[in-house]
Amino acid sequence: MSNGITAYNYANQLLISQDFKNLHFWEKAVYQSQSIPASSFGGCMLWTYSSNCPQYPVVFFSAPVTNAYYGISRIYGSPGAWSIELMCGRAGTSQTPSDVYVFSNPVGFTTSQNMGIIVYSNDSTPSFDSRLSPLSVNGAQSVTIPSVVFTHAVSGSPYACGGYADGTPDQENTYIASYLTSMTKPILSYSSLAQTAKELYYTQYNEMCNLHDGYGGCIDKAWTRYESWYWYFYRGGVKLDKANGRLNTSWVTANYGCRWQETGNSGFLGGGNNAGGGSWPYNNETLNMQARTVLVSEGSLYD
Amino acid sequence: MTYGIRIFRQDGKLTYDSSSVTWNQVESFIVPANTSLTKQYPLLQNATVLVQISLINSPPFDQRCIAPDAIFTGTLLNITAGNAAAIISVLTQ
Repeated sequence: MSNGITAYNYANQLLISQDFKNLHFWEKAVYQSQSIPASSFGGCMLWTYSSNCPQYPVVFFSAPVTNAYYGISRIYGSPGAWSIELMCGRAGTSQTPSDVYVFSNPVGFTTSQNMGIIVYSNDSTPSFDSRLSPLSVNGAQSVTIPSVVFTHAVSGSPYACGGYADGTPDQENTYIASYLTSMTKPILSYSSLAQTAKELYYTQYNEMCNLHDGYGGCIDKAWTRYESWYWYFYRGGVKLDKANGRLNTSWVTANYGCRWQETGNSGFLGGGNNAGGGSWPYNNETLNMQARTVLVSEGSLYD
Repeated sequence: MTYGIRIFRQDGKLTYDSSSVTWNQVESFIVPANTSLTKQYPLLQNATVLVQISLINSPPFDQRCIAPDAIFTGTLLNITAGNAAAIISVLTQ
């Protein structure tokens, strides 16, 4: 070591180093807007925030609604002008946006405080600055999203997307994180990458005879096939269960739709009868299911 | 606390002590869609590494959206291409 300092915690984990950059609190991102891409089956809200963080951000969010599942939907923009999209599902009637905390390395940060410790990297940029608020992490949990979205019975209909095909997710994975119970305001860092499309197909074939031959047979049949494809598109989310010291993962309904089709033939005396409507489903597929890590920090340190 | 460090802010708030836990940033960068890459981090030999991946664009509802995947082995970060661009943050502790 030719410059700087290195500090480890009691668990021999790196705390401060001139070789790497501590993450420091830049700001709470500024809430901009809300959209609701899915209003049924648990629903999904997207909240967009902006941040002028001068570096690539590492984002944490609060989870103010009990029983809701959250995830960072996407982060886009460039240093100095970021947009952060946060997803929230199964929040019921509550539309309380989360607080979004932006952390990054301290290069480009300023402060009016003049006491503290600064550690510089060998390129003379700061790697740690005690005057800013460096990130403390309370927990890190590797999680996966359930392989099954729901197990309840669904009552779809083959007739023009009738019936009520309830695609609300009902499965979750549970992870014990007992330290959550003693925290004031846990904030989470978790990007939603897992996605799955579920498709339910209902069909009914009806046949009738237009003209009997007098011997019990039929010489002019008419037939109709009714088909409905209900489809749902889900993304992974994490739920904070502070009271019971748990993190839970499940699916958030990001979009849904139904396509129906009616094909048939009226027989010799008629002709083909075809009709359809609605939107086509996305293929049944589940992607990006690798385990991800949820980081947990104490939001009240940065409020 | 009988040994270790405590670092306070000017307002008296504790910033870190020797029981604090954090993740340090090694590097953050964007991986474009359909791009694989490998990166060497010699300083991360024997270190615990966490790679965060955040999508840049919303997944479309009518086509596959495969996020890049990251595997860290030894000192080598291997990013497998997805068809979606993403921000990669390499963290260590």
